[in-house]
Amino acid sequence: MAYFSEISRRNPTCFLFLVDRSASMEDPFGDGKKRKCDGVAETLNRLLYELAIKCAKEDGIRNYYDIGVIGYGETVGSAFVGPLAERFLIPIADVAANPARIEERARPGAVAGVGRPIRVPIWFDSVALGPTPMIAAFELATALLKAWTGEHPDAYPPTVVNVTDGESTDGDPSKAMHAMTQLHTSDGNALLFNVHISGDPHARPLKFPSAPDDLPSAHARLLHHGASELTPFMRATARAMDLPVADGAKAFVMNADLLMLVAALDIGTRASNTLR
Amino acid sequence: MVIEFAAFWLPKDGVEPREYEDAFAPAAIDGTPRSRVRCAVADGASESAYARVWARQLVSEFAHGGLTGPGLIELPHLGSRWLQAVASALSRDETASLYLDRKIDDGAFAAFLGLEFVDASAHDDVGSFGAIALGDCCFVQIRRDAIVRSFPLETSEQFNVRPVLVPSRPIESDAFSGAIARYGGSWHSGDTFYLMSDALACWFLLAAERGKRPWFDLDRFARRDRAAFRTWVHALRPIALKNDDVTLVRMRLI
Repeated sequence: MAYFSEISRRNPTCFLFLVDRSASMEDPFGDGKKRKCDGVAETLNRLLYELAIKCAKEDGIRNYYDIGVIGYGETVGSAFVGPLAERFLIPIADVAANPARIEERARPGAVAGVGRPIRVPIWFDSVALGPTPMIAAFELATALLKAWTGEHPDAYPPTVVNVTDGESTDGDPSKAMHAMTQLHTSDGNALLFNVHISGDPHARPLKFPSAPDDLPSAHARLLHHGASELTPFMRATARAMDLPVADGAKAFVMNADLLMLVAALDIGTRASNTLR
Repeated sequence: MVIEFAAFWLPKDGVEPREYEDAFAPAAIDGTPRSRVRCAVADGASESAYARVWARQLVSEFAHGGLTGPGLIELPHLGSRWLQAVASALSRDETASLYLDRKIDDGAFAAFLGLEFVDASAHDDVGSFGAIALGDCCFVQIRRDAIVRSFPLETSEQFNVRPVLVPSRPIESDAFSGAIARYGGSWHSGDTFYLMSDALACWFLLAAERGKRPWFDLDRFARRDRAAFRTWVHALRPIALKNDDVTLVRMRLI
């Protein structure tokens, strides 16, 4: 049975995030309050923090995950800044120990100046510059994961989450996506989530559709086609979050707002029930 | 009543014995006749920090007469003791504390099963027992080579659901109080009770569903034969037992 390997320190899995950093990410999300690039950076910083907390035990952070973040825009490369700059697939304990900085935030609902602030680690910043070289991003991901799957032949397969607001500017990325999702371990092929985010407050979000019937454009169909099917555990996770998903649902969201992006990342990174 | 007691435990493969996060209490029961005996098994949730401390506190509290009232009213007090126990171990490193402190804020969780046997009958060979459970630690009662009762789960399929666990942080919710399972039954002289954490309990029930008699396997181990138990678990894991902490408490009532 695929997607069933236990995730342990001896047998970690891998989460790789591909983040569109093109100029259009400067535009606001649908509610108009936050730039898309800021919303995505904040969400991913928080997700990494939550993943590190999940791996925290009394003896330290346990290396259940290798983590990478590729930014694509004016350049294509690691999105980490600070001590991890230019590194790619990094054990979660190293990620946790090396944030670029720690920021202080007011507690939600707190009166200004009263009470202790919350300290949050930051690993990367928002960038919105240049085109959308999606093929280059997938080719880099494929090279990294080819090495990773070679070193972890029996691991729970890598999960790649591609967050984008637009169309690829370096050509049709279908072949590059396909090549990446052909990489595999003995437990199954690499999983690809395509999450399309939108600044249009009137755009109708499409969440994990099985068939491409309602998709509004060739670009949307391309992202849908390239995405993997949700695993049974991911479908169960989505249903537990009150997201109705059919058997055969694809790991694809169109016109996601910030909340939907958070939900998709949550589903994508809850690989299995238990860490060992 | 007299109890023949044996307990066996093993951490999951690939970890140190100190990372075993199940717990059971008491550690042993001698052959002295008794009118009342309590025993508990708990399984600290892997995703909590200091789950082992919490599991141990729960079983110890139960074995010493606590955790009986409706809604487990001792839990807030126990949760405070857990927090005191872990506070002294907190990291002073500013970055490391970002993660562990947050996790400790969330508290620890454990599955829990407690049984109390009472020699209440005028007849020496019959008595009563009560059980309380939250989560997927189970007991199975065997009499004359057949299952009398398994509790709180009755089929192997039920182990695939994420159970409600006992939290160290006080919570007031209907989901929590509604999830506390209770059972009262009787025991006859010669009955054997197998108290198990989830991996072994799931294997046991699945084997029984397939017409096997898994209690025969568990009866092969003499009271102190921990090495044989370890060998058996290691052999079973690749084929039929989830790689998880394993705890077995076997109690034969006479």
